[in-house]
Amino acid sequence: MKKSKFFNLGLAAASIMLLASCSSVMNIASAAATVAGEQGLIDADIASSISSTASAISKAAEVITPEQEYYIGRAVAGTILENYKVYDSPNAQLYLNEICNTIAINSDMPVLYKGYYVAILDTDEVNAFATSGGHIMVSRGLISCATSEDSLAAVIAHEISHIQLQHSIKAIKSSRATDAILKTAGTALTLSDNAQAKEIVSGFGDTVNDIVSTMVESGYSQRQEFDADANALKLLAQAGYDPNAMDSMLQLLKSKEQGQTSGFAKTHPTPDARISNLKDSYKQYSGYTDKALRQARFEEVLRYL
Amino acid sequence: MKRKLLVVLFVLLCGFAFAASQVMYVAVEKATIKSSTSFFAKSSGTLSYGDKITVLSTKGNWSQISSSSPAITGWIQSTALTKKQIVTQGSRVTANADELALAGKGFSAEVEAEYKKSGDVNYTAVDNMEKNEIEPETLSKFITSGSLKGAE
Repeated sequence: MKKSKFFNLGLAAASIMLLASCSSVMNIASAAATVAGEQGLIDADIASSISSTASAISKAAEVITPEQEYYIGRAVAGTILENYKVYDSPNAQLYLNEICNTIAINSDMPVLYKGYYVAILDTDEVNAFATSGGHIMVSRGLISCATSEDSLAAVIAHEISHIQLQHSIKAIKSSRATDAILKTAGTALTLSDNAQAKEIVSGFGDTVNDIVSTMVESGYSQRQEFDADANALKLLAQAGYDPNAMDSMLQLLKSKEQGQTSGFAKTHPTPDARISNLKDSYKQYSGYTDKALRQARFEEVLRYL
Repeated sequence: MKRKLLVVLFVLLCGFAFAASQVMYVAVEKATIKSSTSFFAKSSGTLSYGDKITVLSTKGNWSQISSSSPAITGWIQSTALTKKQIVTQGSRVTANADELALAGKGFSAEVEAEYKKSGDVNYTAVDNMEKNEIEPETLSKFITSGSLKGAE
C-alpha cells in the first residue's frame, strides 16, 4: 500500500517534469494540480480550480509573444508618427541608427522580432519614444541638447532600455486589451467577420491607446525611468561609450527644459531627480577615454540638423 | 526490485524531460545563423519565426543550433530563441489550448490590416523607418573607427 502511494507520487513527480518541459506554457502550479488530480491525489474539481487560478495569474507582459510585441509597437509608432512629422535627413538618420545598433549588438538583447530603428521627429520639443517593436523616435529638440556622440548614445541607450525592460507592455491596463493579448497569444486566429475578430481588433486598439497615452500624457513611473537610466549606463559601457555622458546629457537637459511644459518636462522625472538617482552609479565604470575620436563625425552630422 | 524499477523509470523520464527542453523555436522574424559567435561572422543560412531547432551547446550569449528543415547548423544569439511553441500563420491548432497558451499567432498582420481601417495610424512612416537596415560592413566600420566594441 505504502509502495503503491510511493509509485503514484513518483509517477506524478516525473509527469510534472515532463509536462513542465514539453509544454512551456503551463506553470508548475498548474501542471502539478492537473497531474495530482489525474492521479487521484486530490479531488478533480479542486485540481481544475487550482489549475485555472494559476493560469489566470499570468500577466500580459509574461505571456506576450515577440510577434505581438512587434505589431503593437508598429501601431504605437504609427500613432506617434501621425502626430509628428519625420525629419528627413538620411545622413543624420544613418548616424543615429549606427549608434543604436552598436549599443544593441553589445547588449543582452541584441535582436528583437525585427530590429531596432531610429527616426528623428521634426519638432523643437524635447521628447523621445520607444516602442516594443524596436522603433525609437527622438526629437530634433532633444538631439540639439547633445554635445557629443556619447551623450547622444546616452539618450538612445535610455530608450533601448525602455524596450528591453518591456515598459510599454507594462503600461497596458484595460481588461479588454489584456484579454485580447491572452486570447491571441494562444490560438491560431482566423479573422473573419465575426464578433470575436471585432473584439480582438478592439482589444488591439485599447492596447495601443493605453501605451500611447502613457508615453505622451502620464509618462512611465519614476521607478521605471530610474531603471531605464541605470540600465542605460550598463548598455553604454558594454558598447564602449562613456557612461558619464549620461550625466552631461542630463545637465544639458536641465537648462533646456527650463520653462517647458510639454515633452520630457511633462512625462519624465526632473533632470535633477535623475542626476541625483544616478550619482553613485558612475563609479563602477571607468577608463572610457576615446571620446575625442568620435567628436569629428558627431560635428559633421550636426550640420544636417 | 519494484522500487529499483521505479527509480529507473523516474530517471528515464527525467532524462527525456531534459532532452525535450533542448528543442527551441526561432523568436525573430528572420534569423541569420552565423558560422561563429560574432555578430559579424559569415552567414550559414537563415531561419524564420517559429522554426524548430535543437540547441547543441551554448557559449556566452550564443547558442549552437541545428535545424533539419532547412538543414542548417551554426550559431545564433540565445535571446532570438524561445522555448515557447510558436504557431505560425497557416498552421492549425491541434493540441489543446493550454498547451498552446504561449504560442505565437497573435496581433498579426491580419489584425493590423483590420486596425488600419479604423485608426489614424501612419503605417507608411513606420514602413519607411523599418527600411533603415544597416549593412554589417557599414556598422563594423562605424564601430572600428569610433573605437567602440562588438566588431571583433
